[in-house]
Amino acid sequence: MEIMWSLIVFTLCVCISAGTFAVQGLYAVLGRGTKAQLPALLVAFCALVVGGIGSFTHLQHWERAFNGFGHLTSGITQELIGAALMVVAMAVYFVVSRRQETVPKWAGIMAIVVSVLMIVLMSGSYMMPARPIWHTPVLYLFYFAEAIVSGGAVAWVVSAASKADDIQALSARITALGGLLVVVAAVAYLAVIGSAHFTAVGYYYDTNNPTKSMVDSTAFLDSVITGSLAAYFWGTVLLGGLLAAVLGFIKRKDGASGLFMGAIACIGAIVGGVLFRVMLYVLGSSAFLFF
Amino acid sequence: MANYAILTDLNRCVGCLACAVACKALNNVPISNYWNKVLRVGPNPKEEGSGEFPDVEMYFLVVQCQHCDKPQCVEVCPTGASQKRPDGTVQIDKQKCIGCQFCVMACPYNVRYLNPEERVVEKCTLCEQTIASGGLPQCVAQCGGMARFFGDLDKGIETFEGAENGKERIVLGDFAKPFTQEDVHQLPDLGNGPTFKYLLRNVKWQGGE
Repeated sequence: MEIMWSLIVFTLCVCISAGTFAVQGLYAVLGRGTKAQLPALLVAFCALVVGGIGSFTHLQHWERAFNGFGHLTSGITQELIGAALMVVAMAVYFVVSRRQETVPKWAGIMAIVVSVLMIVLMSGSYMMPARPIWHTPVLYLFYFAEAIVSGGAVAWVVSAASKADDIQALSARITALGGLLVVVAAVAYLAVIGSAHFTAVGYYYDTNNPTKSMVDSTAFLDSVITGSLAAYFWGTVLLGGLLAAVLGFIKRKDGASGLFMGAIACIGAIVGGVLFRVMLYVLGSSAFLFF
Repeated sequence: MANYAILTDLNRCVGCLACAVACKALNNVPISNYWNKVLRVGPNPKEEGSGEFPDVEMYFLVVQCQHCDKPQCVEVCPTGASQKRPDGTVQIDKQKCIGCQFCVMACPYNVRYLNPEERVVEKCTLCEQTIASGGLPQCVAQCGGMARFFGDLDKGIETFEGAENGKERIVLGDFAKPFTQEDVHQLPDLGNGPTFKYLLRNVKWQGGE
């Protein structure tokens, strides 16, 4: 199907935002990384705003968005509720972090819970039986992996930049864990692509589109492993997964040297996230893929 | 109230595309959008045939909004623009549509389109204003092969009516060649419950139900 860049920006930024907010929430629970709390919160908030703007650019009539919004079975409505909850949670987090020396543990737990909820809601909005490649629990795994690797990498960069040395190594470990999960999710997706069920009618011909060739859904897996989509898949595995994992494991000690490594891991996570999402759109044919 | 649907007798359909053209003309469907389209299925080898010509079979499958029982497009619509009406049809309130196109993604049959000028999603309305006044959907009324029939599923498909044959509308129960329930098919159901029916005798239905 057509690549929807607005939604790619939205899901990418939500993963960055939720991942960063959850990781800083974890640090609040552990009582560490006080210096990095405010800049991390700023990054999480900005990412959410950019994602929200991206989402709005997808709407053809955004001015009507609040005219009748509220159909609760809709994934978009649920995402909006999740985003609103995140904004409220971030505001509360900001206030309590300014009033106290350290962020209280309850605020950290709140940040983690709200972030997890947001990722669940976002993943759920793409659960459509009509799109066999999307309609899988592995999509949840991929988005969670993306949130962890990008959240860890942002925390890594922020901790290095703000000299919050007590969380650098831990942020690198989280980045590494996220990178490994991205690899696991990408490999699991091979099984999804290989087993996805599309309607097959033998030979067919679209009378409205005479020059369009038949789609062979059994060739999707080959296109991902060695064909036209291989660069996207392996790019995700290498840049979004393995690079972050390797850098995260190499970084063993706290110290200022981590800024460059963290930035590389962060860029890799973002590039890998974009590549995989593009691949999901290209493969996102409907089950009835003849038109 | 009712459960309106269309049945297509695929043994009669000649693939003339009159339904597609009539729909385009009546509903002013934009270029590259098709509320009603025709897929040629086959030629595929006949079961227990030689596997080569002339042991092949094919049919023309008319595809449009299936006005499903549990429409996924309605479920994912954030504003309630897509609605299941009491007459069984699925309609779009264009004033409410924000053009998010999630309904386009959620439809298994690729029959929803973004109107590039109005920037809202559109699809087959089953000619709702015409049927409300007792008329037939244009794709049924203009069917060149007299293969399409419209009616209320609650009254049975035998009562479905097709284009006028001289003075009055043909009725499926009288006009169509004999068939059994096994000859009545539907597009693959992914939990959405398509209501449109397809009649296909002596040819293998492709794609599952």
